[in-house]
Parts: sequence; structure tokens; C-alpha cells
Amino acid sequence: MVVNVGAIRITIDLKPGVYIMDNESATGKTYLYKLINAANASGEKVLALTYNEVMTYSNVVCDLLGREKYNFIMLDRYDLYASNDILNLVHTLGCPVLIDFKGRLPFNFSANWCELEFNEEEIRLYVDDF
Amino acid sequence: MDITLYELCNSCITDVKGAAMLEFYIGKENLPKDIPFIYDVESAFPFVIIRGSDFQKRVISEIDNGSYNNNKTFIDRFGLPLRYDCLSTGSKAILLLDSKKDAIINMTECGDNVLGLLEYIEDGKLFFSDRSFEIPFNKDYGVVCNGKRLKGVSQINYWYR
Repeated sequence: MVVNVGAIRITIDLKPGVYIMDNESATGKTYLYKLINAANASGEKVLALTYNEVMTYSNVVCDLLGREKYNFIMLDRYDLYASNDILNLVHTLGCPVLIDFKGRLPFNFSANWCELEFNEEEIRLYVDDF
Repeated sequence: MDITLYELCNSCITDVKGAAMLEFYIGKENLPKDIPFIYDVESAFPFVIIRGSDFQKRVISEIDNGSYNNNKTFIDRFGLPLRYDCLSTGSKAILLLDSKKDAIINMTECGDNVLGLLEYIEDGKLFFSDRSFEIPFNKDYGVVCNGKRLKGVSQINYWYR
């Protein structure tokens, strides 16, 4: 899936499922969040949530996630609003869901690793098979 | 007589309060009520003053792959000047920790690369929501965890897990 935000191209080479990334800071996750948010505002079927929105919507986050059929969902800064309700929901959404998470996942929660790379023109999410 | 790792670590611990050192708080139930707690580092970051100290330059360089430009902007990895609110959340957290010694800073969002820079901070109060983090260096002095003095950072890695 490719989404353009101004001159920036977002390429999401992910199958439906739940994804997490390496435990590093400054890999571009919040940059991706901002781009996905902009794409959502321009009508693309993508969604990005972060701490402030979750606090604003409070306990309706699960409703928000399940309300529409999205092609990609990102949960930025998930450590700040981690909940079992959200984790139970993400596997049912039928699209790639990227969780920015540095803490400890529940023992029975499964997720795939993915990579993010970006330059001045493109940001790309993919699974590194090697 | 065999001694367990738990007993070994406990034997190194004494109660400490008020000394200048790295203070770790792990789990919300261990937060003291009389010290301000900054949960959302993004919201608090505007209060950090960037003056281009060696530590601030190191964070900008090693974490965000940028360089210090002036007290309002840094040069990002692509050579463009950006405001400091464009730094990564991890960088903001450790810069906040370095500048705000009277509050407990939530470091839960920091990646391993940020935690490595704790080696250069002598004094500060850190919060982690659980024990999943690992400090990637050892420090033999000045570490307190949940109000207890530890012999070094390595004890946090092995005991508080």
C-alpha cells in the first residue's frame, strides 16, 4: 500500500497482523505517526493514535479502532496507554497494526517484527526476512 | 551453604534517602507521593532549555543523528534545521531527566540507545512502568531503586526482573 502525503511517499509493505519494532528510539515512529495522521485528515483509510488522543477519547478508543475498516493502523506511544482491551482488539482488525511499544508484552500476545526506514522522500515499513 | 541471587543482592542493600544519585522507580505503586512525576515527557519538554551542553550535543548526535545548531534548532540527519520539539521522544525524556532533577521522569518510552546514555548522568529520578528494560552498562556507585541503595546498575538488570 502506498499513501502520499504532500511530497512524502508512505509505503506499507505489511500483511494484515500485529507488528512491533526494535527497542530503539529515534527510528522514525513518531514521524510516521504524524504522516499517517495527515493522511487520515485527507481522507485516506489509515489511522494513527497517540497518547493525547487516547486521553481525549478516554475509554472509546476501542470503539474508534473498530468503527471503520482501515488499511493500516498505528498506535504511537502505546506504553502510556497500554491496556488489555486494546491488545484483545488489535488482532481482530484485519489490517496491519503497528504498535510502538517498549515495555513487556503479555506472555500470550503474539506480534511480528517489522522495520522502518526513511529518507527525505519516502518512509517505508516492511518485514526483513533475513 | 548455597545462597540465592535474591539473597546476594539483598545483602548489598541499605536504605538511602536524599543523596545525589540515580534514583529508579519501577512500577507506579513505588512512586513517592511527595515528588513531582512527569508521565508525558512530550508535554513537559518545552520547559527544557537547550544551551548546547556537551551532554545535550551528545544526545542530539547519538540518538537523533543530528547536530546542535543553536538554542532553538538542531540540524537533523538530512541536514535540515528543525525545532527541538522534533527530537525523538527518547531524546526528550533523557534531556528532561538531565535538566529537571526535582521530578521523576517517565523513561518507559526510551529505547536501548537512550538508556545507554544514562551512563553520563550522575543525578536524576527515573520511572519505568515495569521491569522489561535493561541498562546497557554497569555503574558501581550511586544507584537507588524503589528507595533501596544498590551496589550498581547491574543489580537492577538482574534482580528487578
